[in-house]
Amino acid sequence: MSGLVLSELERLAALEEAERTFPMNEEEFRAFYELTSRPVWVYLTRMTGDSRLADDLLQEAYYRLLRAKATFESEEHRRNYLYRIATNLVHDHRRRPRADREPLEDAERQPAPDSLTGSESRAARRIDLARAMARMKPRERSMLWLAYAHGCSHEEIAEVLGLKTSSLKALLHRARRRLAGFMTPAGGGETR
Amino acid sequence: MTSRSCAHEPEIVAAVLGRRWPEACDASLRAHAEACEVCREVVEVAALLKEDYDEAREAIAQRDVPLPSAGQIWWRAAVHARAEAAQAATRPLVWGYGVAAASSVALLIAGVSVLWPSLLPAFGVMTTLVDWVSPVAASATDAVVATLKARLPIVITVAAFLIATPVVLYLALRED
Repeated sequence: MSGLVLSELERLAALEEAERTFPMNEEEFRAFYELTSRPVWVYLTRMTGDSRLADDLLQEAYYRLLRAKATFESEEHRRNYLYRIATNLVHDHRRRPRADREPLEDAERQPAPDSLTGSESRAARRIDLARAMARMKPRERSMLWLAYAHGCSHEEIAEVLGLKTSSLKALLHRARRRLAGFMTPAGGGETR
Repeated sequence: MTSRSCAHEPEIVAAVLGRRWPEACDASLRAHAEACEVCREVVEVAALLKEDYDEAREAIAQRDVPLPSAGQIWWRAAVHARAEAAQAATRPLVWGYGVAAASSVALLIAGVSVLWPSLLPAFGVMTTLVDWVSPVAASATDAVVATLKARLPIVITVAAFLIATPVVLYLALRED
């Protein structure tokens, strides 16, 4: 980080340069960040299973967005582009050696929820969902999350994941079936 | 064969995510969802993921380390971009150093090769001088001079390596 110790003059120059070279100004970025940072962080957390890693990837995703040469037709387009960067970062991380990515597998090792009642059942369902999601393929996980947690349209999901819209219906259907299959039936202890 | 999708799916997802499902929804949509296998599955999955999403968003507020602010991200990106730009700007300079070092070595070899015949008498003078000062050292000097005369290319190569190695090591090992 020694390279980041800058003089006051260099700081000003860096900020001026950012205003000139980034595809949006600071005010626009602030508004966009306020709107998107939490959902993107939640997405990264659920895709990696590690909130600390999500912190790092979040910063990297916005940095890459700011350094992108792309032009955005709308806020939605920019948001989809950000999710695409985030998705690629998660996939890049998964390609690294397994020792780097323990947390998601931790969810698989959690005990299956037994017959629980009251407030415990919500926690049990959450564990069950985390475990089921951890067993899904990364692309299926992204697809399901974008479709049913964010409410993205098929076109948006296709743009984020780099898929054809025409094939998305079938892929989403398959992913949904797999998730339902991995979930413990209500009141039961065994997975289907 | 089971249907893969249903035309009501977007409507149902919007209702679940908008917290309108099931009470605040149209009765006909509810009736459809009860009968349609695809929509039942969509309701089940969307409700679970929405609940998980809401809990994760609530958890952000309870974290010890909050998410970085937009200003922090902007500032770090600006500094990072500047550092990258500076690094990119020095890249041709590094190549320049390399070319300069290689040219210097080549010039040195060429110069020594051209001047070598005129340098040979100087070795004779040096041997005579050493012989006059110290007869003991003369034999060693003779050996060195003989080696220099006989193995000129090897001597120049070794000299070139001695000069170039520290430069190359510096360029390779210095911090970016």
